[in-house]
Amino acid sequence: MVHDRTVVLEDVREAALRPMGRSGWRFWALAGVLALVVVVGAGAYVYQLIGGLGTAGYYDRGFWGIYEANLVAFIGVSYGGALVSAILRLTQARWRAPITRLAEAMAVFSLLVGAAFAVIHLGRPDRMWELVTRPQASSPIVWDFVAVMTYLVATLVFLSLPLIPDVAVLRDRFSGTAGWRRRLYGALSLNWRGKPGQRRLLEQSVTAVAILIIPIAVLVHSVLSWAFAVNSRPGWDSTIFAPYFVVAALFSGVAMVILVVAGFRKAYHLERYIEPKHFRYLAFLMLTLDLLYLYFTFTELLTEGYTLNEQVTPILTQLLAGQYAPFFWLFVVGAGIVPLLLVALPRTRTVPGIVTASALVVAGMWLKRLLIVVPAVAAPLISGDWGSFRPTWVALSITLAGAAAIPLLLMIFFKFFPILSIYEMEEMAAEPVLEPTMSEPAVPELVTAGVVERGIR
Amino acid sequence: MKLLTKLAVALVLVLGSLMLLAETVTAAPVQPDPTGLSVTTAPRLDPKGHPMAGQYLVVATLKTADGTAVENQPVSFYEQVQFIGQMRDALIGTATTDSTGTAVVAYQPVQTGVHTLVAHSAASAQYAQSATTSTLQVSQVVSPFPAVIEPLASVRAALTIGVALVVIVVWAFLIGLAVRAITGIRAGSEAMQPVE
Amino acid sequence: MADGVNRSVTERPIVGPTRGRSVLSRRRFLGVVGATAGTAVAGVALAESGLASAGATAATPAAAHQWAFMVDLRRCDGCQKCTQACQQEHYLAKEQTWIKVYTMTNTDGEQYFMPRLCMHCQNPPCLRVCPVGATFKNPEGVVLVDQTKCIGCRACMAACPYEARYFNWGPPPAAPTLASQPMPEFPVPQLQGTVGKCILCVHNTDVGKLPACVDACSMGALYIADLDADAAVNGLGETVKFSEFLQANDAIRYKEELGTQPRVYYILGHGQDLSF
Repeated sequence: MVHDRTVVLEDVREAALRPMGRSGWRFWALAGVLALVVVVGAGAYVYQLIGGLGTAGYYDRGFWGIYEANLVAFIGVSYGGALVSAILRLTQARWRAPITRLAEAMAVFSLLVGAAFAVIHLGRPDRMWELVTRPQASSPIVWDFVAVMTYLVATLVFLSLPLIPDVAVLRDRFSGTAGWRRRLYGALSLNWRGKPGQRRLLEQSVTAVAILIIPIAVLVHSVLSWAFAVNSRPGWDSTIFAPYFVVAALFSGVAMVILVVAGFRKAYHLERYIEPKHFRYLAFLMLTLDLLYLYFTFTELLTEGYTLNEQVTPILTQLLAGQYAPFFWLFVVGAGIVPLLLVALPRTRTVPGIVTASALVVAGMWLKRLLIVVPAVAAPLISGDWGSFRPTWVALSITLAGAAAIPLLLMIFFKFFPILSIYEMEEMAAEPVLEPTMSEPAVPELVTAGVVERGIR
Repeated sequence: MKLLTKLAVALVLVLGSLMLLAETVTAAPVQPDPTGLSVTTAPRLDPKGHPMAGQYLVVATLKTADGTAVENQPVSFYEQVQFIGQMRDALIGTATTDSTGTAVVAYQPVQTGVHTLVAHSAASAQYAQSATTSTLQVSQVVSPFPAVIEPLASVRAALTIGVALVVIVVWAFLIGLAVRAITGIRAGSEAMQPVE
Repeated sequence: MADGVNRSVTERPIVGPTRGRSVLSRRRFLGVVGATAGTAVAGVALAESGLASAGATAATPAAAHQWAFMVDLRRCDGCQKCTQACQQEHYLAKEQTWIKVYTMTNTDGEQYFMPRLCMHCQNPPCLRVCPVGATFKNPEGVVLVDQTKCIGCRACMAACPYEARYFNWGPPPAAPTLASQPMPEFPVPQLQGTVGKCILCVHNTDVGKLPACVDACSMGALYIADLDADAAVNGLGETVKFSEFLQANDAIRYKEELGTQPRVYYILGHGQDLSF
């Protein structure tokens, strides 16, 4: 395990910039398929704009449904990305270095997709500007708008600031060439020279954003839950909803980070930097959140189910033993218990096992969001039959397009920016491990390289 | 045969009813006694005998021409209102006259000003119908309708301002942070040495 | 109610003059200047007078309306003429039942019918959640929607505890060309992608006509009411003093416990005696 210092540094840079090189046919094939899905979704949206929201399967007894679930689910995973990165930064977790960039980028793009569903769900998106020109302070939709916008700015800052030194690396790399890349990176690197003052300012700022983004993210998801919880509708009108949504977002978000990290790790052969241990740490986080989410679910159902008042009873009956029961128990087993076991059992606590668990969690949490939105809407408030929500091909196409847009946007983004945080990787490599208390030292190769100098000019 | 019987029955019936009709039209009907109805208003009293604010009793007295009280006659009370395009008699209530010929309903006007009240006693076999009006000048009203309440209005206003302030502070902080970082790094930050 | 008042009469003397004058027609007024029987204790000027003629009626306060509604469930036979009349009046799609007749079952297992329209809540949840103020309460207490402002987020549908709001999920039915742009007071034609609901036919009541559903109800179960005039009238022309009728018949407001303060009152008890 003896590495030459320069070799290590060059390795990190090579790996981080690997996606920016010439792409193979697999990249283009995957990008093509994803783009096709997005284009089909865009076409479906145009169809929906002309024909009305009824073409997506909506009607008066199913006035909210799949888009609202998508909105919550995508903003939720975004939240996970931002929080994983922020918490790991604040706790100075050394193993975070190879995954922060992926997590932060995922946070931005899934937030964009989630926000897009807020537009897609509107009957009159052409009047969206009214949210700015004539907002009503009492409306949770306005709160959502403000919160999501704040969070968007925060995640963009959170992604951009740590990018500056990495862009400087790119600037230096393309300095000799005469093209748009030189100009782009030259402008974006902000005269970064790795000077102590610059480093200090950067670290201060990143820490400040990391601190700020945690309450912002908590609030965004709380506000999102209030769009449901402030209504008197049985099934939604619950005081537990805000923290319940926050935990749901974290849970699905960590799972999404694992999926994104696993996907790009495999595609760009980043195994040397993103090790099984990273998956294990993230999986432990996910396991904790899994238990927490199951606990919240149980708490909500117990308090409502114990009194069994006539408002909530029909919904609980349908959810636990009626028409929604198969989906609910599928969620409990598929996204609650199975991932728990996959992570808890040492035999399955492997990268494929953890990735399987994460995929189950992401899919199951999306299903859970549908189970939060649909039954409460479908339940009759006065008398008569239950409504239902049956998404049409329009709704499904647009939903798939949203799901495809996240990896596509990430693939495009990493064609232009480093996939690993070079600055942080080298920073970690430069700092000696002071307390080797853990059985596995963080980033062993880089540490053992004994790098003392700063890696960046 | 059957048809004939039916026809005969029908004929008898028709003739019979015609005769009946003729009798009712031509024969002098039994004249019901003419009645005189007087109506007045009085403040309504609470159990302690104090007048209740804005509450009245509408009192009608039904008497025959010779001044005998008419008992057990329903009297309907109306208020004249201009409503949906025309003057309408809005039913306040119906009460039956007691042994003194008096029928009473409670009346709670919702508006100040002059109200026109109508009492009406329908015709019966014994008595002719009669009606009368009275006006009531009202200067104080107690609305019978639940007031529109705005619970916690001041708290809600304060909350809105508070949240708006927090949002502004967060945005200012975020943008300030970003601007500070960008300008600082661009300036090279030699001036911004660590302040240990 | 009459019972209660009668009892009170027998129990204690009536204060105030009982002098009056009989007339032959209750519509005819006699000019009798009555003595003012002041009840100084109450501080209420009480005039007993036949200050007759049209002058008296002209003095009836002509304030702005405060529209309300009353449904007498004892009379509803579930014919749904109200729903049809409403849909014709506003050129609505079949799915848009701004007044909808629900079939309900009481505790005895008997079925009865309950027409449900917008409750025109005075504390409307739908109004509070609207992000752009497209839903508003007009000065006459009617909750209206400006379809030219609505962004179609359906938060109001989520907030309404009465299922009273409907969305234009597709192109609305054609309407006469006269109405080209929906107004809050007459949302015809409906606009795709916006929400619609009962407007209490303010376009009718403001010009002295009955709402379409009230006019269509041959049972006289639906009443348009005005809190300022304190009167309610049904399609049969039966007019009652609103507050007295509500009190005498133990009217309720549906789901009042939610704090919505509805302006629609229900008289319960299908099949009960109709006398009051």
